[in-house]
Amino acid sequence: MEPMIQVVDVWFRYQGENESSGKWALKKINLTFRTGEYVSIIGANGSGKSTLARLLNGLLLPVRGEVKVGGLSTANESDLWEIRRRVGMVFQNPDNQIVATTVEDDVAFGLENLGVPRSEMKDRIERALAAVGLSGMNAREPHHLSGGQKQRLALAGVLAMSPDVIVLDEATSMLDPQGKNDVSQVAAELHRMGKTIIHITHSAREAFRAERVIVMNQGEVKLDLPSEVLYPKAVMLKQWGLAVPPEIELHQRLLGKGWPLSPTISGKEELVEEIWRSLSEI
Amino acid sequence: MSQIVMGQYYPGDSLVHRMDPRAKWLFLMVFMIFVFWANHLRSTAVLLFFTLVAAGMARIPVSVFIRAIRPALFIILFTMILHLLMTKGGEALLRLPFITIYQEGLRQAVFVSARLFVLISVASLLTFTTSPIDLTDGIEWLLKPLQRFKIPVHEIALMMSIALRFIPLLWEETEKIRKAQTARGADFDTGFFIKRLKSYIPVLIPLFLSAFRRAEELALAMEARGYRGSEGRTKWRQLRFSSLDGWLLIVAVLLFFVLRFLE
Repeated sequence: MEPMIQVVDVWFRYQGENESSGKWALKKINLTFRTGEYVSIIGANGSGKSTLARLLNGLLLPVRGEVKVGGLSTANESDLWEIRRRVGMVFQNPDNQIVATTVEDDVAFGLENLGVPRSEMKDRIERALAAVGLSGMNAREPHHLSGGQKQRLALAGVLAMSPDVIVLDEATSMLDPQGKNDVSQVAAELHRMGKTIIHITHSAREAFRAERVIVMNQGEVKLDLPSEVLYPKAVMLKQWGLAVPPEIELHQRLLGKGWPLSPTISGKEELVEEIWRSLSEI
Repeated sequence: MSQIVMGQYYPGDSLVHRMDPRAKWLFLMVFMIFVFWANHLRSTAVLLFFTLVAAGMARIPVSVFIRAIRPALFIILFTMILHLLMTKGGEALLRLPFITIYQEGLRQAVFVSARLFVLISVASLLTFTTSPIDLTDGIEWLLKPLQRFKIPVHEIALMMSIALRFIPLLWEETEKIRKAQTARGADFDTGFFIKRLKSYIPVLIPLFLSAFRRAEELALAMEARGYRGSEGRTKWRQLRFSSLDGWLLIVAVLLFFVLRFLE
């Protein structure tokens, strides 16, 4: 099957930056995203992860190399609108991406841009709102919504356009824990519905919800592993300035103190089990 | 707080609320012409009567209504007094050492203040009974003929609705910055006009910076959602004329004949 998105030998630098200094925001990126995948991209500030996200729907164009979405190249201007329909994007700041004065009008915005006939809109709006759990809030004004609700509204706006891929560009970083959780849950739900999800974040805990984790640092892809492979080795994330999930950190420190634990764990529950076991042996 | 800045829309479900914003806009324009056409007390009285009936039908509480037109009441009162004192003509009704009030002065005072009151009340009636976004949609429709002259009507309307969306946000932000600057020792409440105005510079600069950043991010988000101008775009919000708007037309025609008879 043809991959959903192909990033082929992409180099990118922002305009105005000195060309000879050779400061690339992205260096030699080669990635493939398959249909229905749930991928997360983590990296510290300035690692290039948001830049990469913007290359995926043609908001930025590669200086060298090529980005292809379902066979369409982002360099081809006439395909750009179809690419943006296929690759929906939710941004970091919930306030700065809602256009309209009511929930329902905002979901309609993308459909209006696509030229969807009005008769079809009603149904698509309702379905999108239901999918993110905002049914019945059609007439609400965005500034009366919580942060988490605003991000779910942004998701609904993207979803109504029936995209194949949804890119969350640090979409949870400005939310409270409840909001973060809600948005991540909706993302997981959409993944079950068959959407390809690309979640960009700097939180390792969120990243491990995905099936595959890509680690970026200074414009390069450092790691690209299934999350259950990376998870036990998560301590290595430290070298790129990333936080390690607390249970992994604890596990490592206990091992360091000579506790008789198994060398790898697959989750919080397993660590708890292990600790119980070793305590009862003493 | 947001209610203050979001215009004076008073949500409700009265007959006047349910009318189409375009019909209301058009009626307002015609009505304004009527007001300036009516040159007699008796025709102005008819318009005043109509205004009060319409306000009653809109079920806007009197207190809300008065609060909204209070700034204008001052002007009305002022012109009233000016006319009473300055306009000469007809019999003298009252003679005091420095002041003489003439019949014509009294007539003019009543006439002009009634006219002003009618104008302001009907205009606020429109903003009371129509949500800002409906007002915008109404304007977009009214401006549509200008598209012929290459005036970007769709873009103007979108700008207005985005402005409406961001007013509460920027208002909140202003308050936040104000508090932050107060915490750093800024003083907004003392000094005369110029000094006070100057004290707001440390609020306005961060506010502008953030507004520009917001604008940039919003533009990016709109592009990501496939926005590319009015071309090939459909519209979700739809205005529908109903029989109510037909009644408004009949009222306008009736008013026209009544005024013609009285003038």
